[in-house]
Amino acid sequence: MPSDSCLRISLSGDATIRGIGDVHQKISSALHENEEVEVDIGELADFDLTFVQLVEAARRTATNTGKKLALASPASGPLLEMLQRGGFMRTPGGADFWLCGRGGA
Amino acid sequence: MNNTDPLAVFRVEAQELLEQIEQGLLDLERNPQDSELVAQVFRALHTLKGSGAMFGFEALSAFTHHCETAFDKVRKGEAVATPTLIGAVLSALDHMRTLAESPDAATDGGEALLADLHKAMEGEAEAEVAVVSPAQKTWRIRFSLPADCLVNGTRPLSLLDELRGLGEADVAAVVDNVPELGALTPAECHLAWDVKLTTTQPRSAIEDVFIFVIDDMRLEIAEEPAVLSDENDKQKTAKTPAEKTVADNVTALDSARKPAAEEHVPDSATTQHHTAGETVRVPAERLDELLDQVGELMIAQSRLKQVSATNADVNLRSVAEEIERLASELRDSMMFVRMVPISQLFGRFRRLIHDLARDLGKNIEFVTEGETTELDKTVIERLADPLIHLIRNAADHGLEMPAERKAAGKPETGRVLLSARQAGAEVVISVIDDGHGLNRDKIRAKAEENGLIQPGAVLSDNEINQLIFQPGFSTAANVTSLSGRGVGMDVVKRTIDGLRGAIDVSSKPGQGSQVDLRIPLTLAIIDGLLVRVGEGRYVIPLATVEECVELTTEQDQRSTGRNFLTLRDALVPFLRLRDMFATGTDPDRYQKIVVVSTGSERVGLVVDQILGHHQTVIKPLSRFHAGVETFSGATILGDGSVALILDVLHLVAVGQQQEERLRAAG
Repeated sequence: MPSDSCLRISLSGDATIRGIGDVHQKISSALHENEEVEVDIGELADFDLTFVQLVEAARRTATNTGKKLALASPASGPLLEMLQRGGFMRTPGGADFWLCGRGGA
Repeated sequence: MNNTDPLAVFRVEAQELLEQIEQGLLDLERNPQDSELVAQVFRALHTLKGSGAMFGFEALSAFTHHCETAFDKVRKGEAVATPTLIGAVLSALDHMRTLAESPDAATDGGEALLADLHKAMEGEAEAEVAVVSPAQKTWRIRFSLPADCLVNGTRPLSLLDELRGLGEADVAAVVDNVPELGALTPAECHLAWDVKLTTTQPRSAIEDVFIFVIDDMRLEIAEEPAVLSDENDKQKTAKTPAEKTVADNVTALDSARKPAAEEHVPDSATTQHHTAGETVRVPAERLDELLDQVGELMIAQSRLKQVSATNADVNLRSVAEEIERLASELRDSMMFVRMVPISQLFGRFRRLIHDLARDLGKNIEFVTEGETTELDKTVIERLADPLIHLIRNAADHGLEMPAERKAAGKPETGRVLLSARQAGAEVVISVIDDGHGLNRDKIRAKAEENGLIQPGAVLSDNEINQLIFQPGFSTAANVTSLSGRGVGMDVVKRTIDGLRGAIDVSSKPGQGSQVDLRIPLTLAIIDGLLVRVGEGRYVIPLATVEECVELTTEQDQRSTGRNFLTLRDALVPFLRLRDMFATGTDPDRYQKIVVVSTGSERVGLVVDQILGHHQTVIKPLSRFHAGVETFSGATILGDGSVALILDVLHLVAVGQQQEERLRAAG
């Protein structure tokens, strides 16, 4: 659950290779300035592997700096399908992260 | 210089792939069981589909997909490459060519072709024999893609899907190499994958999945040790200890490799592919440009040589000599760069013969020889049309119908041989058929009828043969869609003349005919022999020069009227260039005869003086002088003056005509 120091950012628009630069900046600065970041991806119009990779980089950064990163809601629909296709639920802690600890969904 | 159009690049690639597919199919027709050929055709189709999609040629990609599916079945042993299937794919190839040229072209006929293909495959399914499915194996596949793969349009998820298509795949992403946010370039790919695949497919099928990216990626494929749960498997393993050892070795290698992979140190033992990078694709125009510059350099060099010759400075001379050597080496290398094997050209005709045999109802065996012979690229391009005409003629007019052949005691299958060989500074390309040969009486009658020759004119066999190259000449009673319209052979003649080549025709009644195209190796720079006739200077291509002899005043006076020279017991006709060029000067006291030859025919050229060797950069004559047959071009000498280059082929022909007339006259 998000605490008071948690920043909730909402991503929207294009998180594919074309627009990933903006998303990168947004997550980077959020994680730089806050101890806990919760990312809402419900409004994302489009995404591809670069987005998944970016989130994996953010997870690593959070772990290495002792910060917390979480999704606001479990991945579902096309994103979940992509994660499964790409084998991302099999990375260490991957399923827990993407499904917000509700594994098995 | 860097404005290479990606679409143009794709088109070139597509044409090469289509060619490869076509050759593969034609080979398969003869050898339907050859699994390597099947795999080759499949791979080419697969690549074409993939790069088509990448460059936005969706229609081509979608269409190719159907052919690929068909060949996938053949590859997996679920179908056989029957002539019907090969025929269907061959017809589909032409459609693909159109789609590769214009992606938005109307897809007319595409549906019908696909219907044929499906029919061929259905026929297959019915005739299908029980195929023993090969044993299942488990493979461990680890791969990472180059960082720029996403930017370049590679879709890793599609690769994974393709792996899943091969069998049961357990896919796990590896994110160990994904850097932290600060160090991440988000458009680069740092992901890797670890896939456990259980399949009956061979290793090559797995490698084929990565066919587009295999050159730059890191890929490890290792066989997992078999799980011996099944008694049959046990027996199989026991029966093939060699196989087991190989599997063990691979696994051992694999585990030995792990630490290296983790440290991300390139490991020489891993399956890294570096097949690309050995060749560079360069647009032909750039080579032409370079050749032009080399030509200019040669001219400048010959000026330098001339200046140094009249200068006492030893250093200047030594530099001039050094530059001469380097320039001539540069020229040779340049020529070599432009050479391509003639197999490129020969390959195209197999399809032609295939279609001709079908349309004409003849059995034709097509044999090629000397495909490794090399020729200048421009020359090869320009030879395509003449050869098409010659091969069509051989198949259509030369070869008889099977029944006719049988009656004549010949094998029912006619033979067309296309061969290439190098002879001195020429390449000789021959089209030989074993048909009924040229009917010289018919040719003669036709030529008289058309007014090409005077009735009753005395002509040698060779001259009669050459008549077929006259514009509008055709003896075929039936004009077919293929040949017999009287166009074609004169085109052959014109093209070969344009290449400064020659055509020899020989024919034996009932046994067939042979057309030899003699093409000079290069078009742009030659070694020449500089001679003086009167006050003018001329260049004779050195490669055609056999020897130089002196024409003494006595010989000169004795031979007047009968221009023959006895050279080691052989009579060689000679031409007095001074007379031909009407120099109006007195002959030099010691005239020389330069004996030149083209193949078996020789002729002597009487000149006033031999000046020496000259590196000749050939400049074409202007349009106004195109009709001047005696000269094939011009060159610029060191002092800036112009020397004309003698057309040896023409001069030899003139000399030989002179000889034949004298002989015919008795």
